[in-house]
Amino acid sequence: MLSIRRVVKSFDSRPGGSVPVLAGIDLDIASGEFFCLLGGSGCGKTTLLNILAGFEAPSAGEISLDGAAINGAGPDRVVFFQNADAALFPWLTAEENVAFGLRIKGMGEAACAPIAEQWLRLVGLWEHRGKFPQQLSGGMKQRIQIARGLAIDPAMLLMDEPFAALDAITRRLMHAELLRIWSATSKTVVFVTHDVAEAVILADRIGVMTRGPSARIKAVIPVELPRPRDPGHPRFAEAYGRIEALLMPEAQA
Amino acid sequence: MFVLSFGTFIALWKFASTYLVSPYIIPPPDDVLRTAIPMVTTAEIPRHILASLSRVAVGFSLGSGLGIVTGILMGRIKWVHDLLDPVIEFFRFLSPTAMIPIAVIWFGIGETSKYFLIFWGSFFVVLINAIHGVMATPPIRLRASECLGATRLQIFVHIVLPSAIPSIVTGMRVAIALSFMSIIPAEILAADSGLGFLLQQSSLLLQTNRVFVVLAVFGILGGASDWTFQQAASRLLGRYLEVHGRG
Repeated sequence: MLSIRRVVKSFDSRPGGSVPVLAGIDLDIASGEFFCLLGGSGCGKTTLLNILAGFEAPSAGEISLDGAAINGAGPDRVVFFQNADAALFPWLTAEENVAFGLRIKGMGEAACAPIAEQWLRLVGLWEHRGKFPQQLSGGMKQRIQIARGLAIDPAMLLMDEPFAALDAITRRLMHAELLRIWSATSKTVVFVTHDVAEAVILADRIGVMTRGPSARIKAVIPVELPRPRDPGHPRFAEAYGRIEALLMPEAQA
Repeated sequence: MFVLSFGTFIALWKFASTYLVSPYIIPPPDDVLRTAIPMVTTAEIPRHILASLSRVAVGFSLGSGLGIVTGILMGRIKWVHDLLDPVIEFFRFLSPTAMIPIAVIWFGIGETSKYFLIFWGSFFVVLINAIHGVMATPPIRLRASECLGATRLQIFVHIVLPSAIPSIVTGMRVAIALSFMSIIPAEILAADSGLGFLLQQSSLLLQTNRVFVVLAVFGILGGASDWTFQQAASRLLGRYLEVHGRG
């Protein structure tokens, strides 16, 4: 279980001042859960994800994963960035990117190969294994990034709007792919998004954030719809409406 | 296009030298060619080419090598950067030509002073580019490798260095051009061999033909060096150069 207790984060600004980004976040995310953090631009959801990743330390509060405090980044919590173009290593082929995390663990080329192949096939890019990232489309790059993160078998996936830059159809396909991988591997997913529909399609529970600065979790809403979820279904529309009603005053305030 | 470009240039040259100005100012191209042939076949030119090129090669290698190492350290370690940066910002505005008088006092007119001047001309530009290359590594790339389990040393070797290569190679290309620009004044003022020396000697004797030959040879040499460097770079480092991740 990921436990977030009274996490506060402020950034130093001009002389003497500081900007409070997060003003006391409390959350428990169960192992194997698909949790969406939903909020508007600038609400601090990416900051919270960066703290969970260990890229940044909280100004106050505690985070622990299965009882152990989080102290810096580690391969048990892989981050998937929105900008796959920047996150991939452009001098490595698709296959070498996917094998990167295994190679730096000291695993030999022969031992990596079948694992890299398994994940490249799963994301449907085995035929493109020899290509460099700049030879692939945006959606393909994102799938390579996902394969690279999954290849090291992390317990937790931290996803920062990974599909935001993709076209609507590709995004729908990626949602289905992600849900398939998630249900097959029972990993914990923390998925940051500003898109209500995306959150309702994916999440077990949705943490709706207030607007920043000094953001909090406004409410945690469970989505109890069977998967795959159909956006045209009346119960989907009902869940969507309920969450949008929570979010709307944050945008207007 | 290459042929057309040079063809037009040579035609204009021929026209100007025949009808417009004295051959002492601009000798016609065929005269220059006739002068060039014995200079090449008697090994007069090759001897001077060798002298200049070996100076460029030694000075450029020293300057680039030290520039890369220092630049990577400065880009990666803050106190090294803060310690060296002010001094470098002062010295890098002294051109190699400005350093010729002191180089002659320190090293005489032998090879060492030329090595020093070419070193001086190539070191700073490679250094600045190496610092920039290291510092400009996209933060997302660093974080991505970090959460895939890379240690600090692995991040440096597998991410920071490869990310800096395009910038370093660009710096070295500029340094080659600067080396060629620095060797001529150095040899004009203080040498008894090399293309700059030959240029100066021909000019003093008003042998405009020979001046033109040396200038042409020098232009070809510079272009050929840059071409060779680019070929070698793309052969050895292609996968680091053809790609530019943004972010």
